[in-house]
Amino acid sequence: MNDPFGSNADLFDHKREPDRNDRLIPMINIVFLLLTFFMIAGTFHAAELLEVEPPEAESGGKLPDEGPVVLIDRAGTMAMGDERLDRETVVQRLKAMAGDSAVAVRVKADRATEVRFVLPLLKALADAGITRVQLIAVRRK
Amino acid sequence: MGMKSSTEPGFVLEGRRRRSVVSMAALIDFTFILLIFFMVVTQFDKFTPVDVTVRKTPVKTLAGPQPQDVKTEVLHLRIKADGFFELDGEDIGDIVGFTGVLAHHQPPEKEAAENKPLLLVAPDGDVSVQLLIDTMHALKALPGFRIRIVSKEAGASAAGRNAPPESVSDWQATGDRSSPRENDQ
Repeated sequence: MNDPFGSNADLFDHKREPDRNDRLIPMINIVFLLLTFFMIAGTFHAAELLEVEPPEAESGGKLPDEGPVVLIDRAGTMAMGDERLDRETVVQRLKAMAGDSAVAVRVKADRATEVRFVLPLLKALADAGITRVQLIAVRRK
Repeated sequence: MGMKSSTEPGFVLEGRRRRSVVSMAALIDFTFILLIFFMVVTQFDKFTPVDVTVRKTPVKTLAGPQPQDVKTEVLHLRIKADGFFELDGEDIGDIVGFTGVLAHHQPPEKEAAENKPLLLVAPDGDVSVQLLIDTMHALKALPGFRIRIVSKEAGASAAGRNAPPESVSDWQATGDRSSPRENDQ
């Protein structure tokens, strides 16, 4: 008799005791938002053999997905795919690949790599007849 | 209340109604694991290409065949590892100021492309890739030059590193400054 709504109070149960889960719902909302953000905004990249932090550049183009990538770390070590290679082998393999496509060779050198490790590679590529090269950089923020 | 609990024994416990049947804790655990996975794995770096055209051209022929009366000016820009620049052996400051000095060497009016002064950029061997790219970007402000990166033949050896730019080898790497990608900012 104290309840003027009688059994309807079940449908509009404002006076219900707070559930323990209720306190978690805002957190779940935030976590889901974060999860969605990371899923949409981030990109995946294959793990690389060498630790390379590319230089920053102003250019705003998008890096094409295809083409061979040569990694050069700050000590001058070169790698292609999942193998460490010397310069001659890199050029040989690129030359063999260049026969069937006109895609640019992408060189991902560390920002601190000295040019004496990079320019001789470009020279060797020119000698092998490969003229299109792209240095991979990170867009400056 | 008591009657309800007896008709729905699996869902209502002892007269206390619960809103959710499944506990939220498992969902939160799972979501956190997904969140941590994506936070660790995703990268936000946007990669961009810096186009380079490499050519095998002897430096002596870079200026091209010249008629007797027209002579293409050739300037040598040396990049030193400490970030300073030398123009034909003369110190012209660092990355902030060197373009101002170079601007004085630009032809006053628009000349034909083949007659623009040739600027040979010769980085020392221990110059970083970052400095080379920054230099090429700074040189974009000077459309009056034809710009070529040259490297010394003995670039890999310490002895050849500090040789004067005259010892450039017979090849060139061209920073393709006019590529649509670079202008696409």
